[in-house]
Amino acid sequence: MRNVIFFAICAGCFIGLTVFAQNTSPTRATVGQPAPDFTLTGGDGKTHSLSDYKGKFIVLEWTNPNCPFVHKFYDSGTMQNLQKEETAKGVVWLRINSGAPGHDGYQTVADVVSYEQANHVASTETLLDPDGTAGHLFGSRNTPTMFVIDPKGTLIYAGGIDDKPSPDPADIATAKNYVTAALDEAMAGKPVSVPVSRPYGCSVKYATN
Amino acid sequence: MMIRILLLLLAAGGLPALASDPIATPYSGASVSASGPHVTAELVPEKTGIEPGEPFDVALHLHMDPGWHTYWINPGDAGLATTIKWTLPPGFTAGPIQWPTPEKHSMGPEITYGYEGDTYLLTTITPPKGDLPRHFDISAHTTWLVCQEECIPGKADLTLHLDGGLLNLRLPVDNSGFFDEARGRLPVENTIWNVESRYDIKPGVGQPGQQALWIQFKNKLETGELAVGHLYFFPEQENVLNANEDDNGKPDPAQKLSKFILALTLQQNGLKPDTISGVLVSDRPLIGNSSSVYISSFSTNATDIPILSASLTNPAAQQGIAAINADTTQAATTAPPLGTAAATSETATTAQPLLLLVLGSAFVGGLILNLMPCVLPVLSLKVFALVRHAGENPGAAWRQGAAFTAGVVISFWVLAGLLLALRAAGNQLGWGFQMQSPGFVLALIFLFFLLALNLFGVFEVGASLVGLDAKATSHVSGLTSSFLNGALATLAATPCTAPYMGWALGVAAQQSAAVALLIFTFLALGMATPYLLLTIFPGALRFVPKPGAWMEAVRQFMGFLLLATVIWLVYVVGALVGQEQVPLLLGLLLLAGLAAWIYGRWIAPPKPPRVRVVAGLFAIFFALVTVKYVVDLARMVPPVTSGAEAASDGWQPWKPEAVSAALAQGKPVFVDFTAAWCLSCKVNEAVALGTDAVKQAFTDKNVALFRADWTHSDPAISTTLQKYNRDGVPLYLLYSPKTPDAPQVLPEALTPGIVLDALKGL
Repeated sequence: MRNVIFFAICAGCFIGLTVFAQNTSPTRATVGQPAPDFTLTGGDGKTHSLSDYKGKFIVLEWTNPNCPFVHKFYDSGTMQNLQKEETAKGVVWLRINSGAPGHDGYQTVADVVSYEQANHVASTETLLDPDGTAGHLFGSRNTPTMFVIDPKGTLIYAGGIDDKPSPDPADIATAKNYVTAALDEAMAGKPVSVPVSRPYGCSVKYATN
Repeated sequence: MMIRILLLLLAAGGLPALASDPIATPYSGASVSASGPHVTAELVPEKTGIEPGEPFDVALHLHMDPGWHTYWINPGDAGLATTIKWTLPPGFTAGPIQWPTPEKHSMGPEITYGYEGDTYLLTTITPPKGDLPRHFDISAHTTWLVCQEECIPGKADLTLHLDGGLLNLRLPVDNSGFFDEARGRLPVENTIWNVESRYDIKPGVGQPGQQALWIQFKNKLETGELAVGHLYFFPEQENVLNANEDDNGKPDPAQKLSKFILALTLQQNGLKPDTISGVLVSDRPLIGNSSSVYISSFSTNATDIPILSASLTNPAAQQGIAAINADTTQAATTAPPLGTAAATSETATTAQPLLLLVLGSAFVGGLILNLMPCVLPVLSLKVFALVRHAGENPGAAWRQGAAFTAGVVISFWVLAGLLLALRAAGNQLGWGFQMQSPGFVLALIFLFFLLALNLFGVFEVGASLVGLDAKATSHVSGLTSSFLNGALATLAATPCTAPYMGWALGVAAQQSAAVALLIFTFLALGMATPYLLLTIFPGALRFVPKPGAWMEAVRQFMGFLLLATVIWLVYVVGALVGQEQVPLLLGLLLLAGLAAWIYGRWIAPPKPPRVRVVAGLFAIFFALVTVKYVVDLARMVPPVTSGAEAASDGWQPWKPEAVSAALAQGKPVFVDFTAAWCLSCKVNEAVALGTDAVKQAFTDKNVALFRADWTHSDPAISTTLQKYNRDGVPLYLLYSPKTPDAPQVLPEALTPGIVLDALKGL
């Protein structure tokens, strides 16, 4: 009998240690469901959790400073204006960079600070997600990809920023912006008419592991 | 040597030759081009002499720099399709782009659809019926996104000068021969299947309630019963289906081309259109000689397509309708049913005559496992126990053998189930994947170290784990210990399985769960057979020497073998968490040894209780300290490898783009897929690749050398291994710049001669 116990203990150690090394995956973000929480380091060097902002509308913007589709919205000032307008209404606007070290567009806290100053970024905070935790949780595949979360914590929009997939800034004027539409409708107590759209842009430069 | 020969035979079995003919000397004159970063765009007419009402094709030829790609109509997880906007003379009309069959490109976890190298996007232009102007222009405004790691948008305005009518001074250019070839890159029209689909949940995959698109392909004419190959469906609609290979294209050999069902996982927060169209590709011909078929718009609102749970339980399953890949998960999450495996394999055998060969190889491989340093000590000790007890209870010996066999088989199933379940969850894992987990390797180190101490006699564990102790004679505990021995032998064998069973396991991983389990079963039976035979025919034991003092000597010698294994495993952990952690690990082994020694010396019953309590406290303290630091080690993030080491000695770190770049420069390329924990890789590197003769030959032939290190898991490497039917390292590829898409695959066991011969053939 004692050898059985000894073996059981050994087996337990194996499973335990192996499990330690694996990542358990929490529920992924789905439109209409509560958004999963995450905690990331911000451009201010402090940690920020999605749950810190519960009770407010939250916009998540996946970004990469070197992506031409991100340039489309920042070089024209469009994204900064949106950030200004919406944060003025009390919306929390979080930019997230899931670029991994060694990949194109990866940023450190210092990089974020200088980028924000140079580009007059007007978001609430920029968060760094170098291991892709938040990115994979939300299934974010492109920069930019946009998500809107309502004050109850429900994900109400996931997809592209607008309906004109192109890198050409000239298309912004004639495009329908899905993020402002979702926020306007939700703030007016109406259901979001386009809750899901096709995101377009560069790939998110996740770690290859 | 035997092993090497066998491996050569194994390796020779399943090497698919991938041939793809690049279009040679494309076309003559009358084209117009423009260059952007990494892309040259060119407009090529099928002919320049145009006749009224006669449609003709124009090709947009995009030439990308090596490693850069442009996109299909659906770019996949990222990117943007190439667009063409035509400006035509009055009365002319342009059709849609006819897209060549796309390729998959993966970047980290993201997969995109597009083209590398050269692509030809054809558009049919129809002139009006009346008289044509003598000279006219057609213009294309084209935009593209070209990406490698970064992306660069590009555009070009291209204008062709064409002639109407026959009475022209210019000699008409005719490129129709080239266009016939370019059309060969298009998928063929679907003439054989009725296709319909519906959205439904895909049990057991990814998230609970994960939805999939279930597509049924049903033959319009009752024709051949060919097995489906490795299928992949490229949807034309964006943001609908998950591009991940594991979710989209696992083949099930039980399915026939006459009727099959694909279960394709939906994109997270994706769209659910009412109709879908796309391109179905296979690794074997589907219609005529073409292995890619264009599937025109089909409904996603069908009602009568069976989903997994139904298809496994209703008679449809016996007709060979099973869900791709969902079947895998089902078998992996429930206890492995042997009956099911056997039943399904019957259909699989007819579908794949190779199966018997594979099962045979698995069995032989299992036999060989007994000789591996990881297994030999455990097994040989078990044989001693048998020698000891044979005299006492000869009739019951076969039961011990049966219990041991059951232990081996069942733990193989558990490992196989784990592998399949993790694969179904989307992980890019190969056999030996557990060696990429520091936690697992650390646990093995401590287990083997303590076993060695036990063999040296530092401490005894009740009836010892390896069944040496005479107390294990009681019937039940004897059987239990036989069973546990089988399990332990399997667990101990895993590090050895990785390099030596690569090929058979590679096949297993590409097959349905049932076939994979069958292969694992044969592997297990092979491993257990010698022992089982010995117990069924106890007469054979006569040839084993009589028990005596020599057994103590052998037992201690086996302890040293285990310590040798520990040394290798320490090296592996060093590669995983950084060599600078090795002294800490050795210190922890010392502490663990100390705890074991105290346990053996002072905790045994004859000591007075006070001594035992004090000793127990010490032992527990040392053990706890050890466990705490081991857990820290196990959770340590592997250091990012600088690649500096790999770059030494002329080897560069492997990157698909770098390989294409070297080939484009006309250099042959040799790729060594290896891992720190792969012993046979290290042997090959030392005895073949590292010899002066081979090094000299590499230099003479100006071969670019790349090393792909799979010590840590790397999806890009896993994908490439799977492409060559391997499920683990080693893999050696030799590319000739003449046939960049069809590298030569060298055997898993290398000699300098093999490498030199292969290099001569360049």
